[in-house]
Amino acid sequence: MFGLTVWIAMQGLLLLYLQILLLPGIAVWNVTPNLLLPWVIFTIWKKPFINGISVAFAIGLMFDVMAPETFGLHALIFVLTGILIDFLRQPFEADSFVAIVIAIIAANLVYATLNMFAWGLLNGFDWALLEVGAIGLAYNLVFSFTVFWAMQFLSKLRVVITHD
Amino acid sequence: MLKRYLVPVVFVLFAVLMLLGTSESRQRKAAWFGRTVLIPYVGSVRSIQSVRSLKAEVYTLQSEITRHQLHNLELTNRLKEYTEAQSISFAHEKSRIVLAELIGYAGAFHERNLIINKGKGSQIKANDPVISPHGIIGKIVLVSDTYSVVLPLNNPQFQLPVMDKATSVQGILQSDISGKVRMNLIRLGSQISVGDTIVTSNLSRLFPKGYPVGRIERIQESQDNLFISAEITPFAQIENLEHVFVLDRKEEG
Repeated sequence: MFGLTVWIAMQGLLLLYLQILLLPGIAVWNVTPNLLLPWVIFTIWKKPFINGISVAFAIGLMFDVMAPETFGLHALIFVLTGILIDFLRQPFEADSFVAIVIAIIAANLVYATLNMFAWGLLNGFDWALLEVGAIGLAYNLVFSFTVFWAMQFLSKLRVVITHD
Repeated sequence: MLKRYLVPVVFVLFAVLMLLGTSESRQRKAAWFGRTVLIPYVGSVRSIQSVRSLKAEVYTLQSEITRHQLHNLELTNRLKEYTEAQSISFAHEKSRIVLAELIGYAGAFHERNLIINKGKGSQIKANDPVISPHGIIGKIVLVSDTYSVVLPLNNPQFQLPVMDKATSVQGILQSDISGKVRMNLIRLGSQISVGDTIVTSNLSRLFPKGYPVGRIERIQESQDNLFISAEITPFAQIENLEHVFVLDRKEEG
């Protein structure tokens, strides 16, 4: 169990470094896609809930340290997203395509809504915030679908050693 | 159910606690985490970001240095051209001087000609004299629109009336197949000696009178004992030329 948690944490750390160091390079209209969100969805969907949610909270908190204005926001979003996905996956089969699509859309909606709410409280609500929020939601949705299925594909790869 | 969501609820409460308060208080909390439990993570991210920004700065500075070096080189070349043009010592008010760059050679090694990058477009004509700040180079023998061919003084086909600068003893400048430059047809008994400076003669119709040619290295009598021949080391080194000047003397009356 501990080994699994370490493995999830290593994946999260790698993606966290990528998110901070590389992702700003592909920002569109000042909106940087979130690489950690599809990872949280994937982890909660595929791994044991308590391990996934613990690591997601820790990674969210670490991400927030680099954005101190909204310290705690990503930790909160990741935990709430995790709980939401856990509720969503229970009535479905593990590999249900529809369930995964619903989960990704729901998680992105929660992420976009809470982000807009937090930034609105900080800087005031206006059309510009709504515009950025809409662009961010669209960009993150596309990004989440791509990253989620890339992760699913990678997780199914196996190294097979045969001896003739 | 309660047991399953107990830990996540604690996480939510902790995150909300972190979010509460003013922007400054959140920054203080983040700074505390960054200084304590998350110091390796924050340190590594800051190091990577710092290295990346330094690399970008180094790249910018290198581009700047290269740009300055190119500008410096351009200025050095222009200074060199200007200095060489200023060092031509004869009275050239009636002549137009065209600066040209040597761009190639034509012909076999000992009979080769020089190719310069100025032609009819710069009003260069056949037989125009070609000089350098140190001494004469040769004359134009072929002109195209964009380049010209120069017959240098160490080519056996080149001939020019020259004289001893000190005693005005006259002779003909010629070269042999090995590239040695000689002043031939000097009358026996003429006052001429090793080390004398040879200049262009007043008999030359192409070159201005008194322009430096070379220095006498050796004197010997001709085989028929009628004339003296002087071996000359030209002042201008034909092999090491970069720029030359073509004299356009059409305005002379």
